[in-house]
Amino acid sequence: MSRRSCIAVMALLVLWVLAPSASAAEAVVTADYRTLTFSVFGVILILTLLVTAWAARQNRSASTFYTAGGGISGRQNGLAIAGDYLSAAAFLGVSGLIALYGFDGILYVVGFFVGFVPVLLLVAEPCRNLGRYTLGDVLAFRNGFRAAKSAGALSSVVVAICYLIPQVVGGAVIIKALIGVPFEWSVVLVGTLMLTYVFFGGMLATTWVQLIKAVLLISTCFLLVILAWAPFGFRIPTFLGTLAADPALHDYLGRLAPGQEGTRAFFEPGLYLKNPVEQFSLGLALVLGTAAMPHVLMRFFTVSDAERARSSVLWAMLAIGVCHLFIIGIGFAAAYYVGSATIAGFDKGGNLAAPLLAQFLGGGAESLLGNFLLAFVAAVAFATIVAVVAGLALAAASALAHDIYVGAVRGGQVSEREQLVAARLATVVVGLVAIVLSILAKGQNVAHLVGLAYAVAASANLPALLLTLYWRRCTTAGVLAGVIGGTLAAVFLVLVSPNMTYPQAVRAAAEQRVAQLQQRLDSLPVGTERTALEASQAQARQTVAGIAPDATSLVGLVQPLISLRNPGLISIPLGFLLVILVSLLRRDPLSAGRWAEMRVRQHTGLGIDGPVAH
Amino acid sequence: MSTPSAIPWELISCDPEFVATTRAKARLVTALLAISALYYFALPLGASLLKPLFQQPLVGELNVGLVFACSQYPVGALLALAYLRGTRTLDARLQAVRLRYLQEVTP
Repeated sequence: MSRRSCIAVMALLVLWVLAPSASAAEAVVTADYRTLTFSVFGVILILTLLVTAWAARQNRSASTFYTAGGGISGRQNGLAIAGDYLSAAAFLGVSGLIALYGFDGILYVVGFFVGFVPVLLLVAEPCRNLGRYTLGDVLAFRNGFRAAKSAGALSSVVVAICYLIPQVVGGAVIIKALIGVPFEWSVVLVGTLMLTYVFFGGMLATTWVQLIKAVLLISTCFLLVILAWAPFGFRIPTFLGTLAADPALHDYLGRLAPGQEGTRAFFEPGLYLKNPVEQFSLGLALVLGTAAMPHVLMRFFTVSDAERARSSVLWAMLAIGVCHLFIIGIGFAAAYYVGSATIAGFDKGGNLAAPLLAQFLGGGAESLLGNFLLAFVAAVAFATIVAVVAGLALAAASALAHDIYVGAVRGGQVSEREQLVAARLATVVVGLVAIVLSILAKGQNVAHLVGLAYAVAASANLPALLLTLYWRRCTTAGVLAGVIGGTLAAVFLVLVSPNMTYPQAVRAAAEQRVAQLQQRLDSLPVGTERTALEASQAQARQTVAGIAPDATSLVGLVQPLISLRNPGLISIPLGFLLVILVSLLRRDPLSAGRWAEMRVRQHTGLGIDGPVAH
Repeated sequence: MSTPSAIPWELISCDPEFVATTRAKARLVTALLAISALYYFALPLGASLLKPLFQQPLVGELNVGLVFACSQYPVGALLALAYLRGTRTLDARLQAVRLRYLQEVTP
């Protein structure tokens, strides 16, 4: 891409950010400080686009596009993995969960860190020694080439798209809430940036965008923790004691969990995660799913050897662990300084806890420093979103172009130039699909898609990958059965789970609300409160009238078939079982024949590709 | 991927030193995975089944549950360091096998 066209893209994007501000709706950032916010956004945007322009000049081969030529260092790759993995859900969502529900927020976030232990012990080094660009490469090493490539691509695309949509939608919702940019504009902005980074800059630009984001995010979290905890001398018991004595927290908990004495419940389990089986299932999917997420796996092909892949994971664990601990500190600090009730008032999910804390610590909603800090945190959240979606888009595009087109369709007989064109075309397809689906998902609850992405990764990718790597009897048929069966099982279980909308349940809840409101109205004189309740009742009646008595869920159910929200507990063992049973049915000479070579390669790195210097 | 065709994969995979080293690595990985799984899953299970223990105060509002949840991070780091330390000697042994066979196939 020429310098001129790069500047044009930059100008266009900055305009896109600024244009909708005129019609901005109500937001945390007031109109007086919106220019300041956009300026901070602009600086970060321009920095990432300059990196993309530099990377675009290096992208002359498929290897550079997919893996940055394998020349990334362990530390850089570790930080990029952290940038790829630490999503807005972790930064904004988890700090919010802790601010609203205390202990249970920690319970939720820990699994995302522990998931890197299996990555380190089982996946990182063998993948680097056996693969080239994708999961499909590793599966195809000792299984039928076309079948393994197609299977790897299928589950990688499903996982990437399932994870991509909630990131884009969630990011757009947060941007709208923070600075008032309309939802559709936010989606287009996130999608276009994602396309720009990946299309022009490939893995090199994506890596550097993720690296910049990781450094920015960790530094921002560190700053917030310093500002919030310094008045307490960083003494945890002193801070928690002060928070526990806060009357606002007492009132909030009185409404959240009636019957609880004092504020101790905030520091104990049970306010948010109430079902132990559900917790176990979610934990299983998080811990095992991480080791098979295509965008995480893909990062191990960007380093030159297994030793650097190992050090990448160590750096990633350090960065992610430190950031998580800061986020825990931010969550409790937000509950104290901003107040759980105020945070819930801005957003029911608590997603604005960290930005609101930044605004408070800077001096409040009316101060310049407060709004500067808020703008900075908002811009970092934005960088967080685009870095994650860029990694996911690259993983999905690689699966489509490298595994499906180059591998399964053309049998690997494709020129370097053609591979690069296919990769870029696939990027455009993935980007457009993500933008369109995200806009269509407006107003829908897409949060469960994150759980589904982890469940598919753990139920389809992981059994196929681990058993290919570590089980001599594993066959191509077993891998195919595991990938297809695991994916279908996870998707099916989510479709029949309580995650879906069940119209009759919505109708029954609305009818109950109409009856409850009627009871209160019967004893209420004419006045403002009565008018408000009548309006609520009319809305509830409208909901009842809008749902047909025979309406069913998306798959024709009146009520969920299973009570589990995350299918991991059923679909992960099923995925492993399918690979094992189908592999035992019939021996596969191809898979057995390459077992010795695969074992030697995976442990010694013999025959590995060398890195490309930049 | 470059594949040195002369490399005797079958021979290396049966080499006693290669087999012993990969077995030692498998033992290390299994032990660390087992510790990690037990320690992590004790958290969601303990939060529901051992709630009174998790509620036990240590210093002020800081209780067993909070300390145990946050300890997942240093324990994860320790496991990673244990792996790093354990693989240092194993890597050297595998490297020796690799060099021995490379010398044999390189004229």
